[in-house]
Amino acid sequence: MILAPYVPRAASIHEAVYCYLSVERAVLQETESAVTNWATQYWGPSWHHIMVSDPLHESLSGWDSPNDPFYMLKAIAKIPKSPLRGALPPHPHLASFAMRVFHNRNSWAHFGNNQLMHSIKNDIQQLVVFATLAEFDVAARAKEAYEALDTLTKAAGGLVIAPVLKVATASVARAPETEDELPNVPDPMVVRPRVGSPWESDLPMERLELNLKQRDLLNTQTGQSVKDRWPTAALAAQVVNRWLDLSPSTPFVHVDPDDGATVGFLEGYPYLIGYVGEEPDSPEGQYRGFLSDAIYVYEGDALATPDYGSPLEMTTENQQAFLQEVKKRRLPQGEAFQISNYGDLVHLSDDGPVRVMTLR
Amino acid sequence: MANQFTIGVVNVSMKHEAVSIRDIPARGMPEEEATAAQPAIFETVDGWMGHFGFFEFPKAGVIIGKFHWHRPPLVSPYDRLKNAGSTTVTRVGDRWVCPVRAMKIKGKPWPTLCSVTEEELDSLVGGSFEELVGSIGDVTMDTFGSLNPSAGKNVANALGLSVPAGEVEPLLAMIAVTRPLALIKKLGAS
Repeated sequence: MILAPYVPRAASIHEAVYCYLSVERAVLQETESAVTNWATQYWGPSWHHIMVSDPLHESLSGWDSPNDPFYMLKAIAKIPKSPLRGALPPHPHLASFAMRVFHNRNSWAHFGNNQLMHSIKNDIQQLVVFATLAEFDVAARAKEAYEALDTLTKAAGGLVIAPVLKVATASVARAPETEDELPNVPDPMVVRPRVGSPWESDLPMERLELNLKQRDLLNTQTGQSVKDRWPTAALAAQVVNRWLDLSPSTPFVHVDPDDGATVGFLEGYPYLIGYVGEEPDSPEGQYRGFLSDAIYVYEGDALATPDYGSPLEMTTENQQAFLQEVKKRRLPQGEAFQISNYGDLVHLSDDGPVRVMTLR
Repeated sequence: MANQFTIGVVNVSMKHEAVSIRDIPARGMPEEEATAAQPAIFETVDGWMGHFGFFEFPKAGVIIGKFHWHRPPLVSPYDRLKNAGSTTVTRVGDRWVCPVRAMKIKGKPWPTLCSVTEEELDSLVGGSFEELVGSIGDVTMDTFGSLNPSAGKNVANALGLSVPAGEVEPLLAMIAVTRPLALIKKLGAS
């Protein structure tokens, strides 16, 4: 039995996440039953064995349990000649949406998805379109859930959503007690989430203004630029421009005086958007920031969009570095990538998004 | 040259670090990068702070004097200066010429930038406006039309100031009188 998708009742990230997960579960379950029914009729009970031994399905290694929808979706999304495509109606855009749904599923399963409201809504909508093109029974309920969320967030979009957060107390801003005690030494106990994650604790104390006209970060009391907190002016300008490009919903950001962790509001919700000053190193493979909507597929020796084949413009240095990484990681043709607002090139692997390199 | 001066309750201090903004020089014109070589900070005792600059727009070829930043929260009466009160400076030979207009309640329930008489300016200063700006630099005050021959007919008879190009102090004093001070003293309100 397929559980109906959850119809959200409030405009919160939490409700949106739950809505996505319930729609995804329903769509994957129906994918599983559609493929299983069709394949059993066509090939009989040993259909799974026939499928995994087909050389076309080489990239499905690991498909042990016949009713695992992950591999069914992967075959439909990434293997154009797979006979499994016959299980679903022959719509020209079905495979392209299957690919979106497949990559989204992988990102979500490994907590690497964009948790912006519009991204979550996009991800749900892609599930809805896929289910509609596949003529799934669940499509109508999925659409209803998506439309409920869309209506709620549109109505709330005009309001300033009061964050359930308060500004941290003054304890963090105490003056150094002795001259030896240096301020701004990051507390090694604080482990920050990935840049781009929703901010879930109290807002940091210091409030600064991102000024669009001056393209600068200003002290709200004096109007003085705080760009000198970065090691170089160029780096400061780069970070400030990156933040302005996110079009924050308020010009104010909240900065932790200890390590410069900066919280900004996007679509009314708080996120860790980066750091004032030097940024701590990210764990290997973890990307920073927010992913763009565009997906690029590795073909030939370049990256191009799957739908129109428009190539991603890269400098020669970037392209060479990319090809080296691809070789080193043994990534086959047809793998998909996205780019974050940090310029991180992210491989959409079956185990979630992995930063491959940073475009310069 | 004075780096800091006080006119009534308005304190003006000059900064010697240029400020750049991305802005449109006038409605309907494309956005471009404009720079003010000598921006100034205006402050009043009631807590208002505004940053002002004469911004040179290289592509449009104009100079616009405007408040580009205010300390939040921006409250009445200074909130009018967020979207009103900017001024155009015209280059005439080696001098900058600027019309003298002030924030005045006239025709609308809120203050707007209007032409003013010398008497009105003197009443804002509590003395001679011409002497005040003259004490800060090499200033000529006359009708705008006689200082700027290419001035349009509708502004030719209004007052204007002329200073050596780039000498912004007397113009800043004029701004202090005709913007914050005029708002504080509710110029035009009966």
